[in-house]
Amino acid sequence: MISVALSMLVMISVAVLNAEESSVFKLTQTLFPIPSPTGYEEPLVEAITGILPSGHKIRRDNLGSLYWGPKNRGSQIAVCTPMDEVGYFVSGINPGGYLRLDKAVYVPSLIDSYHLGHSMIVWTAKGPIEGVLALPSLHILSAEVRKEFQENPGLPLAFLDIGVGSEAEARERGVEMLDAVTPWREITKLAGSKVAGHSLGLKCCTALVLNLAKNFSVSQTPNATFVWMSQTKFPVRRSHPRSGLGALRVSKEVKAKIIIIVDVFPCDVEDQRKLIVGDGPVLVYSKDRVTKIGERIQYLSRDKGLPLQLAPDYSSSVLNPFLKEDAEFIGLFLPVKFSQTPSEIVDIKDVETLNSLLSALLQEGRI
Amino acid sequence: MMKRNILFAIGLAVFLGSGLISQITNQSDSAWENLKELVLIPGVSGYENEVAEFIRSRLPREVKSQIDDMHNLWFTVGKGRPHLVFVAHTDELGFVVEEITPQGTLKVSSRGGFLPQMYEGHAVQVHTERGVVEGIVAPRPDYFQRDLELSAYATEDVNIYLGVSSQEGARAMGISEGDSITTKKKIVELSPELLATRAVDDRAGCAALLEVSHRVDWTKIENKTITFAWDVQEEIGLIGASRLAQKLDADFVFPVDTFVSSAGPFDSKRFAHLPLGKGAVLRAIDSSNIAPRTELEKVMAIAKANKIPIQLGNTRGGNDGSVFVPLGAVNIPLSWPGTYSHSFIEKIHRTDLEALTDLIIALVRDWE
Repeated sequence: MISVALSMLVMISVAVLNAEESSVFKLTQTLFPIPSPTGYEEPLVEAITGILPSGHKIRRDNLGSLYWGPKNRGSQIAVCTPMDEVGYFVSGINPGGYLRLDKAVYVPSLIDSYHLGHSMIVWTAKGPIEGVLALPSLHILSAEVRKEFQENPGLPLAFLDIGVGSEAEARERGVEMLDAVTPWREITKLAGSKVAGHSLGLKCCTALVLNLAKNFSVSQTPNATFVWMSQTKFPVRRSHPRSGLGALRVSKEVKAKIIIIVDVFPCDVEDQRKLIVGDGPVLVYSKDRVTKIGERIQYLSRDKGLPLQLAPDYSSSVLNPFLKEDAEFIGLFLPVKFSQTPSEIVDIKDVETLNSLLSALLQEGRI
Repeated sequence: MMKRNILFAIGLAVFLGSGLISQITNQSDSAWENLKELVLIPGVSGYENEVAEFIRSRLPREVKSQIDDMHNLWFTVGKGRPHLVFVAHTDELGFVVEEITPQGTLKVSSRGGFLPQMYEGHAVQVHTERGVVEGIVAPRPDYFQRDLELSAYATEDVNIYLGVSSQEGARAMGISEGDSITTKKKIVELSPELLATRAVDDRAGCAALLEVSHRVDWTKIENKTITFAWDVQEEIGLIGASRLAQKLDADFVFPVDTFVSSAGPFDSKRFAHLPLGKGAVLRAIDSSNIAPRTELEKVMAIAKANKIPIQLGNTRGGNDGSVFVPLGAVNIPLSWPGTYSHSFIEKIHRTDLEALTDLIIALVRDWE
């Protein structure tokens, strides 16, 4: 049931933009509607494994991350990307049939407020159900409720209305505790080659790594492992610097000499405002650990005339777990604007450049 | 005694009139389908022409409609007194472009009352002369912070990003000061009988009147005058209705608009607690009008005689009929119960819209 619904959503999503887009972006459009909130990445894993070619071995770790690479686990290079988005789950059903929501990740304060008064999808075992997060009616809004909505618009105010009048009716429609809940999403086309959508940057990264795995035959990349990491937004308790649980697990599992992390880079936030969406991917590296792979990417960028932005010593919960490992690693990130809002903006040109750089790197075999 | 007389008179009228006007029981779903088309048409207050033209194009051929320079649309049938005016408003809430900044973003003013924070981080459509341009309402500058102390988000904070970085870039896309802006609309079908979307207020009223215009045999209207009107700029001060009130000389005005129900989870149930799905609403008292009890009873009796489910209640907000009252008309607002008013998810039940449609047909036929 969910598969059929997803197929329909994929068809709708693909129809949104015309055919001028790149193959990576077409793949992004395929993956874009598929929900993957932290801890509920299975539908996306299914979609990825359905697209991966045969040849390498597919394996999973016990947090759900997906590995596609040589059977012996050891490889020269690993390209890793997160696949979990910010999402919610059903934490209760009240007597009036409204669903209460919670989330398991620590994210910017405003995230929950964006969704109040907007539509959401509940991913039940019987199939997706669409609902809306209730708002107070403006004409009869009390001063107290208005203040609460303006100053503390978080999950305590989230009542998901799925059009039923009781808990029994909600259950009859298939709703169960812990069902995943994600915002309804749609791609918005902006000027030039910029596009926006919920977790769009993340899905671009997921698609980009999938595209690499798809386009390079096993014989071309016998020593490469591709990893889609789950639960990267779930924090490891007491970790300093802050680490994502799934990324930490992958950092222990992957036995590669070179590790490339592909993730999104929020450009319009404090300290990062000099970086711009549309000006090329972002190379993230440690000033203290200048790596050959980082130098190689900079060379390729110059040699092929591909734009590249630099962000030394950028820290993130996805990168941090890899800092402690022996492998040579860099981050090659996709710049995004309005990160983790319903309208995360990416530039398709950046996606293409990132794909070209990584393809060149894998192709030349000199790593 | 008076009540019994009214009931008898209405019963007689129903009996006599049953052959003159199409059967109420022969319900169609086209008000519901009309609604789904109408909500998607942009029509921010002052920019209703597309909605008015859509309705005009769908009116039955036998009625002669008029449209004024404000885009108020109406048709009048019959002659003599009483003159019954049924009116719904075509405008919706939204923004208007006030300034294109040197960075190519848009600053706006609002049309109508709503919580601007609904727009934060979401896609909008700018309606330019050259067509629709999509943009994103930028989240507040410190949006990415954790443990952020929030303050109210106001219209002045709204800044729309189009993907360009200069004023020239925005103008090259066709953007001009004065363009209207709506949310990127979506209809959420919660069930076959229940939907939530933007502009149910008052496209549902528009849809009901449009549907009734097809289900009444206008050649049979005698001894009264009936006007159906779709007016403009209700949300910014009943401006279109004020013009029509001067022009139409109504005896009875029936504004057809939302009854803001307190059936939502945040609303006090002290008043306005009318559930969705239980029928049309007679909006007896609101912030702009108190409907006379005699007329309320008359409407209730007509509904009862025609087996139309109807509820009676009081709520807040004004209605277009209120500007007819100082000129001598009696104002009797007709509604459906709606939750989440002035949001992107205004919710309506099909049963209520169909009951409202049937009620209007019955009033056209039976009101004397």
